[in-house]
Amino acid sequence: MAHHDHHAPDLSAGNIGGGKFGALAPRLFLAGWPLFAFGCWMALRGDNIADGARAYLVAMVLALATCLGALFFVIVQHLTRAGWSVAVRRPAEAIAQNLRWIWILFLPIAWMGWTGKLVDLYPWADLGVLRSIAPAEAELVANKAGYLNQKFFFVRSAAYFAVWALLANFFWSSSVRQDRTGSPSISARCRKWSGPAMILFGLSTTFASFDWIMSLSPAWFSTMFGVYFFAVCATCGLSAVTLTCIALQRGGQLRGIVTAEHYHDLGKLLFAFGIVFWAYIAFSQFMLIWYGNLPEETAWFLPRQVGQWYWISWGLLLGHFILPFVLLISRWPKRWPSSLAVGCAWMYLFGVVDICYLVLPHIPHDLAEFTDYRAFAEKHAADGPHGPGLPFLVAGAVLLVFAGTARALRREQSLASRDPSLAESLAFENM
Amino acid sequence: MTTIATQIRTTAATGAPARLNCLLAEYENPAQLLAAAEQIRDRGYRYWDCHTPFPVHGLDRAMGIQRTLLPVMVFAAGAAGCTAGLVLQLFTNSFEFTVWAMVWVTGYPFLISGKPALSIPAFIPVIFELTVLFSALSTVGLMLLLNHLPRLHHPLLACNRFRRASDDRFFISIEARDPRFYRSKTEADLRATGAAAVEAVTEGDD
Amino acid sequence: MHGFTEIDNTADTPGTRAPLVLGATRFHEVTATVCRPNESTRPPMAWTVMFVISLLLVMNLGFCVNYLIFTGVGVWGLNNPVMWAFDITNFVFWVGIGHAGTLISAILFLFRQKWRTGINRFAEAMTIFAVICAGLFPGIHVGRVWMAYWLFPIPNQMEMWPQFRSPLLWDVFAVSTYFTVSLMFWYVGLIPDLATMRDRAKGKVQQIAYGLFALGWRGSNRHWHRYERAYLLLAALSTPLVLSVHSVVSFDFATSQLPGWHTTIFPPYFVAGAIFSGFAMVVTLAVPARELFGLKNLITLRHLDNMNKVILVTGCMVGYAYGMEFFIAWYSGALYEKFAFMNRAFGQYAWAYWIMVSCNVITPQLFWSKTVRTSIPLMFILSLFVNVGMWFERFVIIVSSLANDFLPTSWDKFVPTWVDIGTMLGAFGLFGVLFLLFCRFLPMIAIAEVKAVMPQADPHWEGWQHGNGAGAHVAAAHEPGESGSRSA
Repeated sequence: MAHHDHHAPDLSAGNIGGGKFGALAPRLFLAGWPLFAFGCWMALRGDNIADGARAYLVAMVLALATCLGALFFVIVQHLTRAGWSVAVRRPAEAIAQNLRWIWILFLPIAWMGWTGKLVDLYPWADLGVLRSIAPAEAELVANKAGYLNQKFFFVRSAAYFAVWALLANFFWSSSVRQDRTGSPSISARCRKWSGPAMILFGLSTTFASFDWIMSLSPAWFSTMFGVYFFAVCATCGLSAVTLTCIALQRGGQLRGIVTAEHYHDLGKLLFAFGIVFWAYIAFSQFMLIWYGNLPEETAWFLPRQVGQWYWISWGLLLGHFILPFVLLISRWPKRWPSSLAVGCAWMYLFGVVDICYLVLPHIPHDLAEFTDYRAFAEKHAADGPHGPGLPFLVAGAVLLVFAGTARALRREQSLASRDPSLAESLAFENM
Repeated sequence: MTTIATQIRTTAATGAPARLNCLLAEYENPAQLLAAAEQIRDRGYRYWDCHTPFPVHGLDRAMGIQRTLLPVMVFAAGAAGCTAGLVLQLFTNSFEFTVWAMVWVTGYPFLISGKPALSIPAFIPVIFELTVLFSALSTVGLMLLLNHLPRLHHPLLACNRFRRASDDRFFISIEARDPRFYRSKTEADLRATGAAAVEAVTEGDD
Repeated sequence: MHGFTEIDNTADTPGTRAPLVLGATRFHEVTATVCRPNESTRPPMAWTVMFVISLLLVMNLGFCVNYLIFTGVGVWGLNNPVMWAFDITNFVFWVGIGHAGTLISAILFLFRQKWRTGINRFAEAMTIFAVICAGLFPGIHVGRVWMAYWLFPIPNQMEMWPQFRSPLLWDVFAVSTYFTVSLMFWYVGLIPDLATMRDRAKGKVQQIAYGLFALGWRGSNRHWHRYERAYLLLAALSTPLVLSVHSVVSFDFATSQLPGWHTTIFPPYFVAGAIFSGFAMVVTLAVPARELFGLKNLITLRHLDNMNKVILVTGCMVGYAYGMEFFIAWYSGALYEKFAFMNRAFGQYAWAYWIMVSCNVITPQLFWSKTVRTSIPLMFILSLFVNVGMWFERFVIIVSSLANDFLPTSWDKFVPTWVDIGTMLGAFGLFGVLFLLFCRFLPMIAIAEVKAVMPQADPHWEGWQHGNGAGAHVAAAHEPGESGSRSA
């Protein structure tokens, strides 16, 4: 039988290192930092930084979503005692371990708080300013001042980063320690703590999405929003994990270890969570608000249905769901690394578009004054993703995350080679 | 077990030899079956089959079975269901024209709860359900159709030995209509695979 | 099976997989164990007692339903603001129960969870019977039952069509699709086992009955090939379907503007709750069934442990949703939203709310402890709690939001009448009758699927590789004539 004729996979250092991908780390850093710094400069110069700050937020959320998606992948493998995924878990852990330094990306927002500019990003940060522009909204937002105030905001943000750094560090350091000791008790420990880790992960990502994204429109609320952000994380994280595996293999590593079977499963997960689950959550949220037709809630969708955002909304439906659904539903595109790489790059791109869609549009304060949709649409015909420095920030953030990943994989193995379930992972076959 | 002799059953009434349907070889475990299936495949038989109490992993490859096109057909059925759901709702709730669908029917675009005539978001759930319904019905229907089931009468079902095919034994049957089938040669082929027993199965034998 | 001590196969050692089938080393033992309850001449005493009780409840159901239809929905305790109460509570409860069956048969199949094979058959049966019970309630609550065909797009003399923008119509499509697909999934899974029953049948009647439904299945590998593809496709179709069904049920509430109903998290929250309640029902049924029918080697402690873990996970999800609803109600800053939730927790139905929170969020936390997860009496009690809690969850959502709506002058209180309660109990009777008949006449465990996950099913299993040794041993140990010696 085929899988018995396989030669034992090559577990030598030459096959489970960082390879050419790991060697890219310094170059990725050298490209990433200047791009990111230039983007920051473009975004945050001048007095009116409202657009720029949002562009910055897109980049930060993207980097976070990528790492959080990978962290979710790692936790859920331990939680479910998965065997198949051991061969591809290390790249996921390597992406997730970036959460140890990612708090640095929050510093510009902390700086905005320090210098009193946070109100340019979050209207709730200064109720006096909000009251002078939109008194009715300010009255509503004042009701939640117990939660939406600067002090508590920064305390919570610090807590999220601490939780994520803790979780990512726990799973990363446990896994690399096992490379040296080979102790199965390390796997047992990861399994034991995966349950509480998942609860911490769920609560922290939910409230982080409320704080950083949902409160951009402080009057608006949706109980689903945390779940929506989880779908964003899954899209970005799972595509990044798959792309890293492919990059490692293209760089001459993990040969005969990561096979079409693993790609098939990664593709299925991306298909399930990044495409179908995302569509389910996005549709449910939209349809319920559209159907209920309450002004407090529809206000969030209105600015996303005028100007260029109208086309971006349709683009999301098409590019984040319909096209990839049709193209990735078959078996072979998920099993062939080249087509899967295209699919993952595509989904990552639309993950970025989705984050832009969540973050960039402003809810205009004259919302109460317009009489019908057509008048509103005409007035906002020129709206669109105007974020100074946005391309630089996004490219820089992505490069930095991959640089951190490549560096980790260069220093440590790219395979959890002494995980007790490795044999199961190497042997399994899809139906 | 291996001492059981090959025998042809005769219909008692006429005494004439019944028509041979296939030769049935019995194996004790999936490993023997898998090895045997590879040998039979390599002998170039076409009308032959394995019978197992549960799907045996790797047997498809050992038998050289082509991957079925069922998923492609189901995808087409799903697309049809999707279209049907959309057309049904648009016609009945969004437009007012008359078409012949077995009887003459007219759409009825009435407004309710302030929703527009073309309420696409509200039509999605039914579109989805019909997509799944069409796909699932065609999955089961096509699976049975392609397998030529239901077929309540089959020579193998009259064979006593074969009853264990749904319990704990593994069988290979080679049909007499196979161009390479020669009674003695095929029996020798089956014995060469290490069959625990080989039996001839006849037709019209209830 | 008396004197059987529980074998602990729940060890969680990295790198190894605990056995899912205990005791049996041969395929034939699995067949014999599963078929024994169906082939015994007389069911256990407990079965008969339960069956009689269920039958009485069904008669009571028939009476209540007829009384309702002949008299009108006024016989229920409904009043002006509370126009939905027990009927829809029971509907959502039963649909939810059904979801675990599909989760086990479809989602766990896609996730390659082999332990599902021990419980999927009767969880799927549970799904079908639960959906039958669920379908009863919207059927009778429309008042004029004889007009029910208006729900379907059938050309009629009034030239009217159903209102496809209504979530209640989506329900019709979702639940009927769900029933059809679940039934097909269950039946497709049954075909090989019906063939087994046919081949083992001792009497002509059984042989014909099982043979007819086995469709002439011969275990052909060319058939198995398409069968497995079809099964995978059905699983892939059922997975989004099961999500959609309870989502659509949640849309019945969430598309409205009523505080406590109109909230965007309802779809995934209802799905998680449905799986939660369904798994609890599987445990409630599995614990006595394995005891009564001697299935402890096939539904092992590991299966129960895993199910309790799923209950814990989904219980946490439900807790998350309760928390989000409460937090966002406050965060919305909207008066009515805040009131709706304060009213739930401290208003006239506070007792129901706290039953719900205790049974759904607090007591399932005990499942963090492995001792609790592997204790048969404790898991049985906790699963009953979850069943109760999830019934009250639907009651709280439906009744507390309606009873105290926007206009205080119209507030009222819902009190169930004897017909409400009789119908609710009757539905349990209907479920019981169907489930007990299933236990008696159909294999409760998927025989072919259990065999396929035994290590011996792999042609590369060590025992088969060491020459003929193990194989011959197994053959010799097999009692000849069990199924092969009877004349046709």
